[in-house]
Amino acid sequence: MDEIVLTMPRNRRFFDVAHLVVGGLAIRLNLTVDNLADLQLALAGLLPREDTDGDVTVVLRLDGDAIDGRIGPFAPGPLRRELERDGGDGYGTHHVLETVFDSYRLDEEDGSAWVAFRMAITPTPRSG
Amino acid sequence: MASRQTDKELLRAYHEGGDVTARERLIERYMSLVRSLARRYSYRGEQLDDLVQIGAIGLIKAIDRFDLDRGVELTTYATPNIIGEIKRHFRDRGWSVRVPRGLQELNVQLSRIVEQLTVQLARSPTIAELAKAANIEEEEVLEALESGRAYSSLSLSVGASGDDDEMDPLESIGTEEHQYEVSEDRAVLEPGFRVLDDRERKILHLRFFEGLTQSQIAQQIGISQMHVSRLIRRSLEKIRDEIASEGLEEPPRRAATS
Repeated sequence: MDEIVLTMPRNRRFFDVAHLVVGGLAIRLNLTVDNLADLQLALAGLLPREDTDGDVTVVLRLDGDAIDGRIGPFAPGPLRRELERDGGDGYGTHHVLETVFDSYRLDEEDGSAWVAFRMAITPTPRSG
Repeated sequence: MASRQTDKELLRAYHEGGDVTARERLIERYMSLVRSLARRYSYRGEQLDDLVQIGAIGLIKAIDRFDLDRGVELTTYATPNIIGEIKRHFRDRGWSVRVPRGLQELNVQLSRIVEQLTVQLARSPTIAELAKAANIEEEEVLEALESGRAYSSLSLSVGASGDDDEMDPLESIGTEEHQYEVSEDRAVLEPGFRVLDDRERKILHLRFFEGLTQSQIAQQIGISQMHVSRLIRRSLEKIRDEIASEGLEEPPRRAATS
């Protein structure tokens, strides 16, 4: 199983690196532009969260026809409450994650929270 | 003294006889037109003289490219060239200075190709398909797509002046007002949602309630997928900023939770 792990300072200047990594993955997996835009939208919504200190890590694991990912750590309280508050209403983090991913959940471990997600890849054959 | 030469005579002297003096006389003759057109855009915070210089480039291009066999006047041909050059200047100012001009143009080109391929393939294209269509490497596609992220969100805003529609750097948004009414009243009441304009609300609604893809939204709204992507990102940022500024974010993390 192929896995990419990217740990970077929780600083906007480094977030473009994550976007580029996702872009590189999109090339390798032959993702559509829509898929790529969705993945990057989720990253853009989660990475800038400033409710905790230290590095932020993005894990992308290729599992057959899906990408399994994890982003964190975050402070569990604010994120959990935000996801619960947004449930069904508005356009907050919950709605973004629910729309762009096939499924997602909030994992809490050792006092921190990670967003785990699964995104199915629509096979798009390479021509030529 | 000979009588004043007509535009056509000067153009012929330049194009067929290589008379650069004729070219200079044409430039001088139409600098008043350049100044007049530049004045229309001077309220945007640029020095009039700078805009005149930029407009003059459009005039020179028009003179150089003028086709004598076409039955149009030089003024008719030069006016859109001058305006186009000034608009191009404003368009470029919307980008981060770190994004090279070539990359900006590739981004615009790819935006059009995405539109074409989306219709042709009946789905969003892949990066490989974009690369093939643009005859460039996949990494260059990625680089150009990423460069779009450097585009100033401010420059994507439609201002109060109706003229701003035509100043949209990547495509015309259209003059039709989107009098979109959000069906879910609860969404209107959602904190931050009110900071969005009608078009932003419509795009978010189509994406997050109707479940349309960005490409499908692009087709429905009449703008490019890449523009939809930027608008979604900007809209969500606006909502987050609004929520934060209203103090609606949750209080700082408590020391202990059960």
